[in-house]
Amino acid sequence: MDFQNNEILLSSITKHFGPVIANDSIDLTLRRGEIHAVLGENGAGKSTLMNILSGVYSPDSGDIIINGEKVKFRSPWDAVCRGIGMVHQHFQLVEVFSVLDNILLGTTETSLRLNRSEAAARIEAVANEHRLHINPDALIWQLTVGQRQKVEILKLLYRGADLLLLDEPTSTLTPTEADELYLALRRLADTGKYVVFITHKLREVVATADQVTVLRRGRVVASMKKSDTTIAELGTMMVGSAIPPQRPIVARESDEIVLEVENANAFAEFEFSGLKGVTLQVRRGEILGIAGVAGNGQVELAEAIAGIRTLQQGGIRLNGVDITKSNALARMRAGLRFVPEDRLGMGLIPELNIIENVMLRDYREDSLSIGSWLNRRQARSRADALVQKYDVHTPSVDTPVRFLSGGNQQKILIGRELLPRPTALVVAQPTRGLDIAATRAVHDQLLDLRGSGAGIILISEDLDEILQLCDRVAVLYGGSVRGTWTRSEADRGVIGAAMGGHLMDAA
Amino acid sequence: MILPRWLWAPCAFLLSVLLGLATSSILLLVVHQPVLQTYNAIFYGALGSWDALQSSLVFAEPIAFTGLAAAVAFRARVWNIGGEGQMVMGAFGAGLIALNTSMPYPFMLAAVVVCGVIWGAIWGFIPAALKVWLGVNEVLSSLMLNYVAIFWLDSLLYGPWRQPGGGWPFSAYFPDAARLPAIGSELDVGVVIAPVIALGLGALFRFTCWGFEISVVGNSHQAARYASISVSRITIMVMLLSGGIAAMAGIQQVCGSAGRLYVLVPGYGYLGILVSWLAGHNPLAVLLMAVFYGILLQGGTALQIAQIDPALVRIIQAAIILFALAGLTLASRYRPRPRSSTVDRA
Amino acid sequence: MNTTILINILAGSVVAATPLLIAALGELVVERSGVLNLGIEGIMLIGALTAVAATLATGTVIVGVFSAIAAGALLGLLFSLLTVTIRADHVVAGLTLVLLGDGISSFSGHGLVAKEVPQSLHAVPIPVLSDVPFLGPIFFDQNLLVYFSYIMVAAIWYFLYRTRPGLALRAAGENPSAVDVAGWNVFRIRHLAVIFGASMAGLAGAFLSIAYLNSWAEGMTAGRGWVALALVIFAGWHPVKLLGGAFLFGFAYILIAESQVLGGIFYYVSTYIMQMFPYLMAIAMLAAIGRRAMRRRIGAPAALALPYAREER
Repeated sequence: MDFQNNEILLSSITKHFGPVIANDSIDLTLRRGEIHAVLGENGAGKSTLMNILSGVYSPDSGDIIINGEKVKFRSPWDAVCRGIGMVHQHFQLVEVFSVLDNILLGTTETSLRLNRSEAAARIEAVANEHRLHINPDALIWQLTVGQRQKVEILKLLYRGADLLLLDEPTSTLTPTEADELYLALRRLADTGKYVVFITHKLREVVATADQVTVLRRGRVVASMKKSDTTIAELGTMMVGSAIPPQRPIVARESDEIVLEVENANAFAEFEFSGLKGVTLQVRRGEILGIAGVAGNGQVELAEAIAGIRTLQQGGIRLNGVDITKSNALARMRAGLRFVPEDRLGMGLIPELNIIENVMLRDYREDSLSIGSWLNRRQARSRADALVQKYDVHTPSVDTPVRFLSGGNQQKILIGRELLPRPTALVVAQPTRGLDIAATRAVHDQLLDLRGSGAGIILISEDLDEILQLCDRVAVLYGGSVRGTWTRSEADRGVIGAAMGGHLMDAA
Repeated sequence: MILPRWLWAPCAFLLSVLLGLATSSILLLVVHQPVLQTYNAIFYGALGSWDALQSSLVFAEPIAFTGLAAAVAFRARVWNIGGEGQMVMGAFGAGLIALNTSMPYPFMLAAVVVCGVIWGAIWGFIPAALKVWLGVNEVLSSLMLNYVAIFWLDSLLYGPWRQPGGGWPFSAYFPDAARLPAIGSELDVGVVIAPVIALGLGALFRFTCWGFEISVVGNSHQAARYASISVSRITIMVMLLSGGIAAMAGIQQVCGSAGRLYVLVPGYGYLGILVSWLAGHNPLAVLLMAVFYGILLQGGTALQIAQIDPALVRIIQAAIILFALAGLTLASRYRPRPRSSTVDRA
Repeated sequence: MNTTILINILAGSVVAATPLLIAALGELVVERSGVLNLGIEGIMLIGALTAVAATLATGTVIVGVFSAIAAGALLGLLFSLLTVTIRADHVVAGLTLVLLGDGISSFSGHGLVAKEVPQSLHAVPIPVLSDVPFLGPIFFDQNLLVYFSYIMVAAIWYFLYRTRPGLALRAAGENPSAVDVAGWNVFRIRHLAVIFGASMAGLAGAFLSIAYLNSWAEGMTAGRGWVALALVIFAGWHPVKLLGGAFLFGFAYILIAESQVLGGIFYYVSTYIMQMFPYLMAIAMLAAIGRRAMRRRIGAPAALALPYAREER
C-alpha cells in the first residue's frame, strides 16, 4: 500500500456541522518520513480534520490528494484500504482477547481459517521492524495503557498502513511511556511512514515533530518546520493573541478565603490525569479560573471538590471548616454547589421535567419536602421562579428538559445551583456548546454570584472565557497546577504555553 | 405529529391491539375457523355476564400483582425477571403458616400474608445482593431462581405437604382463618388489594422522596451520584418491594378461592413483566392492562365451548406485545430537534 | 450395580442431554454475539410441533427435521428484526416469543396431540466405536441427531476459536464498536447468529418430539428451554464445557425418571432437588464468575443484551 509520490495533500478542506464551521478551508501537506504535529486547543478542529482524513466524515468541500489523484472516502474502510490508519484516543480493543486476536480482528485477509502461528510470526516481524515489542499472547486487560497503545499501532502496521494518525496519543500515558512512544514514532517515520499526531502539548511537538501545523477555530494559523519556531510562539499561536473585550469587573472586596484545596491527590478516571498535589485558594467575591485542555484533571478536580470523588490525599476547607470527610450532600448543605461539565449525563436528567430537575439535589431539604413527602407545589414555584429569573424559553415547567435548547438547559442547571445562594461554587465547562447569547447569559449568572460575595472556581477549556471573567487564573496540566496569575499579570502566551505543559520564566 | 404527545402511547397500543387481532384473524382463516364468531365468543365469554366478568377479574388479579412488582423494579432499571419465583415463594410462605400453625382470625391471615410477602422479598433480595456485591447480571440470576422456587414448592407438594388422594398434588385446605375474605362468588379481597397497591405505588413514585430517588436511579446512575443517592441501596430496596408485591400474586391464588396450596399455573410472572412494559411501568396503567389480559384469558376459556383452542388468546396476547414492541421502540426514538444550534465538538 | 443398568442409564443420559445440548449450542452462539434470546422454550415448542406435523404429512422424518429447522429460522428472523434492527428490548422480545411459541404450538397442535409418529430416528451404531467396552454403547450407539450434536460441538468450537468470522462474532459480544471499526458488519453478524441459534432450538424441539417422545403434546418441552439457558451459563459460554454440562444435566433428568422406580425418600429428594440442580448450578457459576469477572474478565459476553447503535461510537 505504497503511495508513489511522497506527499499527501489536504486542499481547502471545509466541514460544517450545522451553523458551526469546524474546518475552514484547511490546507495541509504531509510528507513521507516526516512526523507532522497538528497543534490546537479543544474546538480548534483537529479531531474533525483527522476524522475526515480517516474516512469517518466526508468534507463539504475540498480534496484529499493521494498519489497525485483526488480520493473520496465513503467510509472508514475506504481509508483503511488506502493505507490510512488511525489510533483513536479511546482504544478499540477487546479486553478479553489476546493481542494476536485483536490484531487479527482488523485484517483485510479473506481466508476463513485463522492461522495464528503464521500471524504471530508476521506480527513478530512487524514488531521487530519497528521495535514495538509486545507479547502476542498477552490478554489486553493485563496490559498497561502504553502497551495497549502499541497494540493499536501494531494493528495498523499489520494491515500495511502507510499513514498513521494518532489522536492525542500521550493523553493516557505516563511520561516514560510517552518517551517510548516518541521513539517509536521516530522510527516509524524513519522507515518511511507518514506520521501525524494531534496534540495540545507543546513539549511533545518540540520533542518529536518535524513539521507543525497550528489550528485555531477551524483555520490553519501557521504551518512550519519545528526548527523555525519556538515554544512561546507556538503557545501564542495556539491560543491566539487577540484580546477579547473585557467585562468590566468590580474589584474584589475581601481577602477572606472561602474555599481552600490543599495537596489534593485523586485517582484518575481512566487515564493518567489523576490529581497530584493540587493546592488552590478562592477568596470571597472572586472567580478563580482553571485553564487547561480537557483530560488534564479537570473532571477529577471538580468532582473531588464537590465531594463526588474521594481524595487519596490532601484536604479541602470551606470557610475554614474541614470538609474533606464530608460527602457531597453535606458539602452542598454547607454552601458548596457544583455545576458538572456533563450537562445531560450528570447535571440534569433529560427525560425528567424542569420541576424534577430543579429538585434533583435539593429534594430532601425542608423547603422541598415534608418528611418523606415531596412538596411538589413548592418545587413548582421554585421552578417557575427560576424560569422567570433567567428567562428560560420553555413551553412550561412540565416540559422534559431534553426538549430544551442547550442554552436553556444550562440556564436551568446553573440557576438551580445558584438558587440557594451558595458560598462557593465549582462550575465546569459552563458554556460548552452554547451560542453567544446563551454564553453571555451564563456569564451574567456567574458574575452576579460573584457580586454577592461567593467564591467561584471556573474550570474551562475556553481561555477567552477565563480571561474575561476571572480574577485569577491557574493552569491545570497533567493533574497538577502549573502556575497562578492574577488578572493583570495574565499573559496569553505564558498561559497558553502552560496549558501546553511548558513553564516559562516570567517575561 | 398531529396528536398531542400524551396520546401517542395509548394510540400505539390500540394500533397494536388491532394488528394483533388482525394477525390472529389470518390464523383463524388459515385453519378455517369463523373469525367474527370467535371474537364474539371471546367477548361474551369474558364480559357477557356478571359471572364472566368476575372470572376475568380472577385471571387479572395475579397478573396485576406481578405487573405492579415488575413496574417497581423496572422504574429503577433493575431487571427483575424473577416475578414467577417470587410469586411461588409467596404461596410457599403463606402455606408455611397456614398449614403449620393455628391462630385466630385476623391474626392468622395477617401472619400468612406477612410470611408470604417476606419470602417473596427474600427471593427478590438474592439477585439484588448478587448484583450489588458481586456484579452478577440480575436478568440471569432472577431467571434461574424462578425454577428453584417452582421445584421447591413442587417438592413440598409432592412430598411432606401432600394430601392423599392421587391425581394432581394439593395440600390440605387452609383453615378458614387463613383465607382471604371473598367478594361475590369467585373473587376475593385481592381484587381490592391490587388497586390499593397500585395507588400506593403511584403515590410513592409521584409524591415521596423515595419514589423520586427510584426515578433518578432508573434514569441515570451518574445523576444519582451527583444527587448523593446510593444506587446500591435503591437497587436492594426496590427488589425487596418488588419481590414482596409479586408474592401477593401467589398468596392471593392460594388463600383465595383455591384455599390450599397447589402447583401454580406457570406464566403469570412473565406475563406481569410484559404487561408492565406495555403499561410503561405506570401502576394505574398496569392495572388496566392486567384487566385487559385477564379478559383475554377468560375469553380464551370460553372458546372451548366453541371448540376452538383457547391457546388462540395467547397468540393474540403475544402478537399485541410484538407489535407494540416494534412500534413503541421506533416511536420512542423520534425526538423533536432542540430549537437552537448545538455545536458539535470540532 | 449391574453394568448393563449403568450403561443404560448413561446411554439414556446422552439421549436426554441431546436436545439440551443442541438448543444450548445455538444459544451460546447467539449470546456470544451479544444478543440474549430468552425465547428458546417457545421456539423449541414450535420446532417440536412442526417436526411431528411435517413427518406425519409426508411420511419421512427428514422432512420433519428440516421443517423444524426452517420454522426455528423463521422465528429467529422475527426475533433478530426486533432486537438487532429495531433495537427493541431483548428481554421483552424473548419472553413474548415464549408466549407466542406456546400459543401457536398449542393452538395448531390441537389435532395432533398424542398421535404417534411411527417413523422415528433409530439408533445407528457406529461401526468400530460402538464396540468399545462401556463407552461404546453409551456414546456411539445413538441416533443420527445425537452424532450431529457431537459434530456441532466440534464445529462450533472450531468456528468460534479458529476462524475469522468466529473471532468477529465473539468480539461483537464483547465490544461491538471495535468490531465495527475493524470493518465488520455487526448487525449482519448478530442477525446470522440469532437465526442460527433459533434454528438449533427448532431442531432441539424436533428431537424431543420425533426421537425422544415420538409424539406431540402441549407444552412438551417442560422447561427444557430454560434449562438450556442455565446450561449456557453453567458452561461459562464455552462449547466444550457445554458438552460436559449437558451430559450432567441429562443424567439428572434420567435420575429423575429412574428414581420413580426406587421410590421413598430417594425419589423425593431426587425428583425435586434434581430438577433444581441445573438452575442452582447456574446461579453458583454466576456468583463465582461475578467475583472473578470483576478481576479477571471471564464470563458473560460484555455486551450481552445491549443493543448496538452505530452513532453511539
